[in-house]
Amino acid sequence: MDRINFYQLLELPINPPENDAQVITEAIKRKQMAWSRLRNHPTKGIQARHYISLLPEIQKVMADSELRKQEAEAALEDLKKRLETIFKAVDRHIDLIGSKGDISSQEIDNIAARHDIKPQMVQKRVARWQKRRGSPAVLQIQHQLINGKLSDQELDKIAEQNGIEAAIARKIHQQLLDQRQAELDDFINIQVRKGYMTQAEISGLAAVLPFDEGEILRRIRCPIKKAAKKEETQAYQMDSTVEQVIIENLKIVGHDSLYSFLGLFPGTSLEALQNKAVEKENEIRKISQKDAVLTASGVLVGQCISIFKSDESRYAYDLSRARLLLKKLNADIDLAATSKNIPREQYNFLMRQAIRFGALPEEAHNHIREYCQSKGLNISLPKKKINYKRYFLVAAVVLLIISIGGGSFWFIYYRQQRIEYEYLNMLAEASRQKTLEGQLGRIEKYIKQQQDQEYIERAQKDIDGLYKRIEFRDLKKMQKEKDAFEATQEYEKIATSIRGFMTKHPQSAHNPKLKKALDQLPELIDKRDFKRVLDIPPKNYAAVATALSNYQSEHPKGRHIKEVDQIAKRIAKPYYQQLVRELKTCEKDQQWDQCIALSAPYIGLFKDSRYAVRLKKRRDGYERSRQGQEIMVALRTKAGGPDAEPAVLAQAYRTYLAQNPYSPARDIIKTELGSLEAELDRQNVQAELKRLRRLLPQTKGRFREKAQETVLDTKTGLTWSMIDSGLDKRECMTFDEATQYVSRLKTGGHTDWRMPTVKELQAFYSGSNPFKTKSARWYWSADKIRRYSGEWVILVDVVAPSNHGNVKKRVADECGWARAVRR
Amino acid sequence: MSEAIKTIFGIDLGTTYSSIAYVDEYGKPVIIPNAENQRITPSVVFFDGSEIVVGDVAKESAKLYPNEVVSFIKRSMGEAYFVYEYDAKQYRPEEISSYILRKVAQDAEQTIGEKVKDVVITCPAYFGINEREATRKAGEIAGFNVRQIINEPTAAAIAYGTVQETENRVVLVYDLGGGTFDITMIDIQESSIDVICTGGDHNLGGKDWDDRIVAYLVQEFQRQTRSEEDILEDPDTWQDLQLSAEKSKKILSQRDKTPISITHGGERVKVELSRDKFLEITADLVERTIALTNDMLKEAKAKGYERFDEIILVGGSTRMPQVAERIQQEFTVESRMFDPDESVAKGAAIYGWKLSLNDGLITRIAEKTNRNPEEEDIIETTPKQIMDEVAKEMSEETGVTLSAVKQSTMSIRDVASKSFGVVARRPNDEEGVFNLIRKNTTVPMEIRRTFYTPEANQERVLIRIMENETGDKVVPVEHSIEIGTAVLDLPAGLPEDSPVEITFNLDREGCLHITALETSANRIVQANIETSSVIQGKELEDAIARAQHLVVH
Repeated sequence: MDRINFYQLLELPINPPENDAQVITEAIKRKQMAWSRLRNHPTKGIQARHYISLLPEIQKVMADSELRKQEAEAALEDLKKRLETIFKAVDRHIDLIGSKGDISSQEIDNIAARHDIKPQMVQKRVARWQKRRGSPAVLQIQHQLINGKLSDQELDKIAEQNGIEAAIARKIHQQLLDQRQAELDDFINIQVRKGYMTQAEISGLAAVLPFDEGEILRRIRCPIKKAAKKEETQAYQMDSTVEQVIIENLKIVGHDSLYSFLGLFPGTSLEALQNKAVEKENEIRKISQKDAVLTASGVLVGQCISIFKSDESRYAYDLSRARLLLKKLNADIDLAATSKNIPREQYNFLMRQAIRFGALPEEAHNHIREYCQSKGLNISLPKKKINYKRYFLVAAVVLLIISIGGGSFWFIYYRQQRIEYEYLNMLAEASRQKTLEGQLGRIEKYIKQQQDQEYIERAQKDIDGLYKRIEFRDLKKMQKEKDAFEATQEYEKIATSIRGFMTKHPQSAHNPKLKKALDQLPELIDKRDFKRVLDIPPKNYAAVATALSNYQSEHPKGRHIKEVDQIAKRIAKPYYQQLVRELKTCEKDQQWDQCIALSAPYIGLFKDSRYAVRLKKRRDGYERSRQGQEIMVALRTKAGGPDAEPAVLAQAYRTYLAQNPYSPARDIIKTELGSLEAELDRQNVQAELKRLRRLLPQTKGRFREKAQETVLDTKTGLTWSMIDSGLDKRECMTFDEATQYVSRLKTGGHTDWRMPTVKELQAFYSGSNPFKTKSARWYWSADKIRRYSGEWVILVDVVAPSNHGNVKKRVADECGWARAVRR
Repeated sequence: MSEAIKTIFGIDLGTTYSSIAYVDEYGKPVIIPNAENQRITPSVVFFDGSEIVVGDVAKESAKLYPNEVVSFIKRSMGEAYFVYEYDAKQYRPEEISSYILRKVAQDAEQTIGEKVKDVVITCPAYFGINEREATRKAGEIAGFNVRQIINEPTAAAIAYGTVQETENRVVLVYDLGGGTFDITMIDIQESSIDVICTGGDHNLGGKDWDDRIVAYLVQEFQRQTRSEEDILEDPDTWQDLQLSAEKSKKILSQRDKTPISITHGGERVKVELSRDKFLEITADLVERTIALTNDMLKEAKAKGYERFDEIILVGGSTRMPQVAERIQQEFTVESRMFDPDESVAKGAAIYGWKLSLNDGLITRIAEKTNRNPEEEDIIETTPKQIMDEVAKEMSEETGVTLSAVKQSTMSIRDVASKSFGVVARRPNDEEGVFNLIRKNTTVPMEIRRTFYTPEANQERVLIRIMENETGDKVVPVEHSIEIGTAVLDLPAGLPEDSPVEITFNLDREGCLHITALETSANRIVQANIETSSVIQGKELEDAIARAQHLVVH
C-alpha cells in the first residue's frame, strides 16, 4: 500500500485492532480538528492539508469492517518491517562498536537505548555477531588491513603468532580483500551515475581501502575529472532553510532528491534539468486536484527552477545532499565515542560506512572531523595518510615547470599518465556501448584525436580485434538465417543474406565458400518452382495457371520450361470452359471483382491466345461495370446511405450525370434515376391528393371528388383533373405539348379531356380555392390567335390563378402548364 | 446624493487583510476606516468566550491564545473537511469569514451612518465554483444581500480604468495578495473592460514568504542553541514567530536587514535577517509567479493578444522590492504599483455604484416603455433617444453627472478561470471529462451539448460536473475535481444511445447553472449542483441563526 496506514495515522491500537465505531469516529474527529488547526502551519501545513484531503477515504475505510480489517493487517505488517529495519541498524552499530575488538555491556546498553529496544535483544544480536566475526587471526588481519595490504612476511608472522598455517592466513587475507573490493565496486557503481569520478575521490578511496590508486583506477569504467571546478565552487553553501523546505516537501511527494523528483539522474545536464522542471510545472498546473502532494510538487518545481539555473547553485544543492547523508553518521559517532576517543578501526569503519551511503571520501572525512570537534572527541587517524590536494599540487608543479621552460621528467611523467588515463577512460566508455559498432566508433574517434603513436597502435589493435568479433557475429547470424530459410525453401532470402554479409566483409576468408553457395541457388529455385506446379491437383486450373505463369516469368530459360508449356497447352481448353461457367454465376450476382479475379490467371498465362482475347473483352466489361457500381455506391453513401431521401439521391445522380456525361455508370444511373423520379412523382402526386382531399370538405360543397383524381365544380358543372401537368409530368410544356398531353389523358377512366377556355379557368379559380398551387404559375387556355410581329406567331391566352385569374397572352412556344377539363 | 440611488458597498475579503469601500456623493470611491481608524482590517478572528473579535486585537491575541485565533481562513474556502472547533461547536470557513465581513460592515455603518445591506464581494479570479459559492454564502450568513461576486483583478482594473484617463490599453494585473496570486490580462477601453485571460495559484501569497522566514528562524534557533527541537510544536512560539516574520518581511521591504528575537522555552535567541538572505530563501516563490505569468501570456497569445502596454501591481505583497525588480527583468515593460491595499475594494464599490445606477436606469426605462424590468436585454434594445431622455432625467433627479450615468452601462466582461465539463465515455470506452465551457472564454456563456446513454433501458443518468484547469476539450478524470453531481431520471424503455442534452450556463459572477434534457420525453432536470464543499442545509441555517445573536468586535 503506497499511502500511510490509517491505523497508524489515527494512532489507534493495532494488536488487537481497535474496532469500536465510537472510538474510531472520535479519533477521526480529533485528528480532523488537529489537522485543521495545522492547516496554515509554516512547515507542517502542507502535510496537514494532505491528511485533511485523506479524510473521505479514512472515513470510508474505517467504517467498512472488511476494509478496516485489511487496514489493521497492513498496519501489523508495517510494524514487522519497521522492526526488521531497526535490527539492521542495530547490527550495523554492533559492527561499528565491535570493530575495535570487543563490545562491553555498557555499550550494549547504549545501543539498546539508541534504538529504544531491550538490551536482551541487542545481546542476542551481539552473540550472532561473535559467531560471525571469526577467529583472532581474522581480527588481526582486519586491523592491519586499515593500513594497506599485508605482505607475505606479515601474514607469515600472524600465522605463527596464532598458530595457524601460513596458507590459511593468506586465504583469510584474500577473503577480506575481496570483501573490500566489493565495497569499492558498490561505491563506483553509485558514482558512475553522475557520469564521471574525480581524482580526489580516488585518492580518498585509496586512503580508506587497502588498494592503491592504480588498482582503483582499473576498476573504474567512467571518465575521470580533475574537478577543478569543484574547487572553485567549494565555498558555495546552500541555505539550510531552503534545504529544509526541500526535504520536507520531498518527504510528502515520496522522493529523496530533486533529481529523482524530476525523474532524472544526478549527472543530467543543467539544460535538461531546467526543461524537465518547466515541463513538470506545466503538468502540475493542469491538474485541478490541488492536494498536498501537488502543492508540495509545486514548491519543489519552484526550487528546481531556481536551483538548476546555474552550475553554482546546483553544486550547492549536490553538496547539501551529501551533507545530509553524512548526518546519518552522527548517531554512529555518538555511539562509538564511549571514551572521548574514536579509535582508528572505528574511524575506518565510519568512513567506509559513509562511502556506502555514496558520500564522497573527502566530504566524509571533513564531516567526521568537524562533528568530532564539536563534540570534543579525538580521532585516531590511520597511518595511511590522506592527501586530497596532492593531485592539484602535482598539476600546479607541472604547470610551474612548463612555464619556466623545463620540459623535464615531470612533464613527461605527467603527460604519460594523462595519456594512459585517457586511453583507459576511452576503453571504459567504449565497453559501455551497447553494440560492437558503437565500441568501434568510440575507438576510431579516439584514434582521430590521438597523436601519440604508441597509443594509436594500441587502439588500432583493439579495433582489429573488434572487426574480427563483428565478422564472426555477422557470419553466425547469416548462417542461422540460412538454415532457417533452407527449411522453408526461401532461397531468395538466403541470397540476400549472403550478399549482405559479403558486401559488409569483402575481405572475409569465408567469401569464396559463400560465393559457391550463392551460385547454387538459382537451380534450387528452378526446381522448387517446377515442383510447385506439379504439386497442385491438375483440375485446380486457376492455381496451376498461376504457378505456370510464375515459372515462365521467373525462369524463361528454365530447365523445365518445355514441360511447363506442354502443361499449359493441355489445360487451355478445359480451363476456359470451366471459367466461362464460373463467370456466369458471378455475372448473375453482379460480383464484378470476383469475375475479374477469376479471369486474371487465364489471361496472365495465355496472353494473346484466342480464348484469352475473348476473356480480355469480357474483363474490360467487368471493369466498367465495377466502376459503375463503385460510383453508384459512392453516390448513395454521399446522399445518406441506404436510408437516403429519394429526392436527395436523385439530385446527387443528376449532378453527377451533368458533371460526368461519359461516365461508365451513365446507363445504370439513368435507369436508377428514371425509377427514382417516377417514385418521386408518385409521392408528390399522392401528397397533393392527400392535401386536396383534406381541404375539399372546407369548400362548402363546391368541389366534390368524383371518379379517381377528378373533381366536380358544382358551381359550373365542369369536371377537372385534380392533378395538373406540372405535378403529373414535373416539367412545363409548350402549348402544342400541353394540348397533346390533355387529349391523351385517361384520368378517372375518361378519354374526353380537353384544354379549358379562359372563362372556364377563371371560374374554376374564383373564390377560396385549394387548387391554387405552387406547381404552376399560369395555365394554357384553349383560346388562341395568330398574329404577325416580324413572323407569324400563335398567341395563347393564359390564366394565372394566384393573380385573381388575370389573363395574359403568351407565345405558344413558351413553357407552361395545363389543367384538363371535361364536361 | 438623492435617495433614488441605493448604496452598494464593495468589500475586499482578503486572506490577511479586508477592507470596505463605497462611492461618495462626488462619485469618488472611498475606503471606510474601521473602528480602530485603520483603512484595512486584519482577517483574523478571535473566539473570546461568547464574543467574536476581529482585526488587530484578534491578531495580537494570537500570541496569547493561539488555539482560539483563526487566521488565513480564506485559504480554506470551499474545503469540505476543514472544521474549526471552539467550545464544542464546529465552524466552517464560510461562517468564520462571515465574521470578518460583519466586522468591516459594522464599523463602516458607524462611520458613515448608513446601513450596509447590498454588497459586492471580491474573490481571486482563480477561485473555482466551490470557493465562489462559499464566498457568497459567507456574505449571506453575515446578513447581506450579495449583489455580485467579482474577481479581484477585475475590480482593480475598474478602479484603475476610472482614474486612468488615457486611451485604450491592455494591462497586466499582477495581484500578489496575502494568500493568493492572480495574473490577469485586461483590455481597458472607453466603454468596456474586457478580461482576456487569467491564471494564478490560490495557494501562493505573502504568507508563503512569511513561512520561509519562520522556517529560517527555527533553523537559527536550533543552530544557536545546538538543539534539534521543533519549536513550532509549541503553538505560542509558532504564532509569535508568524507575527515576527510578517513584521520583518515588511521591514526588509525598506531596509537591508532586521533584528529578530526568538523566545522559546525560556531561551532567547537573537537573529539578524538580511535582505540578501531573505531573497535567497524565497527566490523560488517569485519564480513561480513569473512562470505562472508566462503561462498566462502564452494563452493570451493564442487569443490574439501578443503584447501589453503596462503591468500594474496590486496586493500588499507587491511592496516587496524584489517582485517589481524580477518583473522588470523578465518583461522589460515598466510596472507600476497601483494602490496595492485599496484598489480592489474601491473597484468593487465602483462596480456596486454602477449596478445601482443601472438598476435606476432600468426601472425608468421599464416605466417609460411599458416593459418588464426583468427582461435581460432591456438596455440594449431601447432606442437611443429614450436612453438619452432617461439618463438625463436620472441625472437631474439624483444629482449624478450625466456622463457618470451613461458610463454605468459600460460593459465589463470577465472570463472563466477554469474549464467545466461532464464525465462521459470516449469512443475507446475510457472515461474522460468533456469540457463544455473552456477556460478563458468570456462569461456569461451558455453552451449545449448532446450526450448519449450507453445502455438500453437505463433508468437514470448521473451527471458528474467537473472543474479543471486546462483548455483542452477532453481531460482525464483524475486531472479534474468533481464540483457536484445531478441525476436525470429517464422514462422506461429508452433504447441505447438515447440523446441527453446538457446545458451549462456560466453567469457573470462565475456561478454555474446546469440543465439536462432527455429529448425523447422532453424531461428537464434543473440540476442544482449538490456539493459538500460549501456550507448548506441545516448547517447553513444554524450558522445564520447563530450570526443573528452574535456580536462582533
